[in-house]
Amino acid sequence: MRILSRGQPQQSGKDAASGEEPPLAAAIRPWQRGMWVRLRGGALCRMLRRVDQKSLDGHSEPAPPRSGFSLARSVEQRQQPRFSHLLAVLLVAVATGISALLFPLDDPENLVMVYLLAVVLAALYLGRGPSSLAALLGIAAFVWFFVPHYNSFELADLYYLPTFAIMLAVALVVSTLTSRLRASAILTEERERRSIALYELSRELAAVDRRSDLAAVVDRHVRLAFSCDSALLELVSGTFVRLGLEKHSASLEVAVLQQALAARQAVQWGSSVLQPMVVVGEPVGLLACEGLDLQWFRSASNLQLLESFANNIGVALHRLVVGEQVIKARQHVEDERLRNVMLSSVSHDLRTPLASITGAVTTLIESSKVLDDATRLDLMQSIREDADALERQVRNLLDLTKLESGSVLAQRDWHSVEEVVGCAMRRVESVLLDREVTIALSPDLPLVSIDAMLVEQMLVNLLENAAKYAPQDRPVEVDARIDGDELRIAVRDRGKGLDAEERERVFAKFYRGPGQQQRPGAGLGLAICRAVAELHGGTIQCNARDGGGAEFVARLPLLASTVVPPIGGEPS
Amino acid sequence: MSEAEVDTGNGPLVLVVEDEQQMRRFLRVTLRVHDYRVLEAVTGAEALITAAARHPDLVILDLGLPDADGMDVVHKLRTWFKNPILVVSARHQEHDKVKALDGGADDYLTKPFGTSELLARLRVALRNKNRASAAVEQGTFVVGDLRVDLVRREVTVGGAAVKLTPIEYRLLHTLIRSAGTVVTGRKLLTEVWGESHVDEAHYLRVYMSALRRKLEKDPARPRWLVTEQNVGYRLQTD
Repeated sequence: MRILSRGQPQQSGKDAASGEEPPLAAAIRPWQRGMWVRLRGGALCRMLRRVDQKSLDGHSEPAPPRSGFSLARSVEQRQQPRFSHLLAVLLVAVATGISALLFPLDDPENLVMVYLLAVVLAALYLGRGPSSLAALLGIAAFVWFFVPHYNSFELADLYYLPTFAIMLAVALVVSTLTSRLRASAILTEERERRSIALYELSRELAAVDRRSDLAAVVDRHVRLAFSCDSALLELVSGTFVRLGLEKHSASLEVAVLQQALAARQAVQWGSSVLQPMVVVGEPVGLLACEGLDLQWFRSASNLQLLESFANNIGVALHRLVVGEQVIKARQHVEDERLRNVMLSSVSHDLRTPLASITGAVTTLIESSKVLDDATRLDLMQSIREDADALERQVRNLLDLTKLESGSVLAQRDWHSVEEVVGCAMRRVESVLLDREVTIALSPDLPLVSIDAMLVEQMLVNLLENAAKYAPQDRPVEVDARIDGDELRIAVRDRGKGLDAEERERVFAKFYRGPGQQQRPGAGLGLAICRAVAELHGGTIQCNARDGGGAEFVARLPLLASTVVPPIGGEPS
Repeated sequence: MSEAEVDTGNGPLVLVVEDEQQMRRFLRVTLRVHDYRVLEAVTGAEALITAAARHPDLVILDLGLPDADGMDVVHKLRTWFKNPILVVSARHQEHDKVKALDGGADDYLTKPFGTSELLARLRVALRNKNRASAAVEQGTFVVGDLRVDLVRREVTVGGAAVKLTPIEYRLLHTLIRSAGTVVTGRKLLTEVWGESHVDEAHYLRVYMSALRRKLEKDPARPRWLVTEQNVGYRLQTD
């Protein structure tokens, strides 16, 4: 804070005692408030002043006194040709030449008009100073050359005095008027440029819905408006997070960022300017422009535009943050609901087999003497089945949790579909028993780039599903072929099939078909299938079959960019 | 503690390295019933000491020990221990399992496993150790209707001669040498194609597929040439 309030006496005794300014403080130059002050006189900054006032009022500083400077003056100075005074002299010289030519033909007083013309021209094009100079020089030249007592400044009578006064007045009036006109034209142009830049920015910001896009839009517009690199820093719970791509070399020191943020106004740091973005009194981040030259900092309009930019960007960023919070809240509600479903489902599905195991084992232990062999075997068989079911539930639950956590990537490698199907078939042997399964793999199937473990799991789940819902005596069909740029794997059964609405919902987590609540399973198998297909960038869907039954089709895109690697040939 | 419980008898001596008590109990009971003598160790360090002191015929090693990396125990054992090592892994330890196999373990079991699976693995591991691939010595390998004459390099299925390419034959031969146990992809690639091709897993898939088409009735449901996904291949012997 101390650093930013230039002009105030140093209050901190500690700093005064140390006798030297910390290097950081030296690096940060308080934003030239003088510039602001000068601008207050200008009629054109009223709107911007309002914005500016807010940040100043925030610091409860007294309103700066009105300065006699006008923006018009500064603009005029900026726009003057470099050798304007020289040009004024030249104009007077030309006027004198013309007058010399006309002198033998005309009255001397008419020659004053020629000088007046020179003064008007000077006033129009060269500004007040040069035009006044032209007026005075003109009077002097006229008196010297064309008034009796030639070649002296002696005036015979006071006849010419009003003429000279008018000439001077014309010079002043015309030059003031033209410079005002010019200034307002320049400022209008400047204002238009600024509003266009702001308009373009806000228009694009309105369409932004991701942070990376926001950073890209800001980068582009800052470059357009100021021709410099920019960095967008979001304030996330007290720390700065840089948005967008890391492509700037300048490293911004956190201390400096904190300073700018505390000041709530632009701070210069080396060749960078740090502009806080404040939304409803709360800082949301910083906009940093890097690699600016000194000229940039001298321009008040640059700073105003930067501040407006920052405000707009701040609002856009705030909108993203609020949007995320809404999504998070919605997600939270959905998570809560799923967790409840999961808890009830899991506790039911784990407890049921556990209860049955406990029951069977207790019977075996306590009543073993009265049980005949067949009953004993039956009980033990049931224990085994329940344990298998438990294992499957836990496995599915873990698999799905893992797949959905986003931490699993498809570990693609070149695999033979035949092998994957073979592995899946071996794993479901005990479930399928002697059910007939026809496998149709097109003979020209190439190696495909898939995660074999996951696709195998998908097939296992689909086959288990078929075994569960289709009658024992109807065959299950598995086929795989290449369809365009996709690997298409289908598992078909002749069960009751699913109606249109169910076919959609069947892949949802914990979904159990109507009347299926009593069957073992937690409704996770098909959710895993969908997760696997999606992890491969593919889809899975359920179709009705002609003649009854369900068909599950997974389509996994073959990566067009990858080509099956060559196989080392062998000598025959 | 295990000392007192060691059975007297002539069955093979098995060292069970497992930290979970219930699992140890299941293994102990099952193995004793099937005439194995059982030693137990709870940690990796204890396993190394017991193995050195008692020279078991086989080690069953759980990869999820609390005190040591299972891989590490395999490596240390293999510096001097020549008998089979069977690693037991949970499902999330796929990667460790392959490393253990490449590091010198002979076969693996994934939890949960049944008694029949356990006994089959033990039988194969001990047989290979005892008879040093008897089939290879005798010159003929037979399983089902597949018959391989290792001297004349002739392969027949159900009496009909099958023509194999040199690579296919080498692949089959490598599997026969470790018949019944899993052979990792890395080992197969090294043996058949050479050290420089260990990363070319797709070679295996192509040639194994070709081999299945020549030797199996239904290549999509192989009876003998079984894939252990992400681990390797196994030539079934029963």
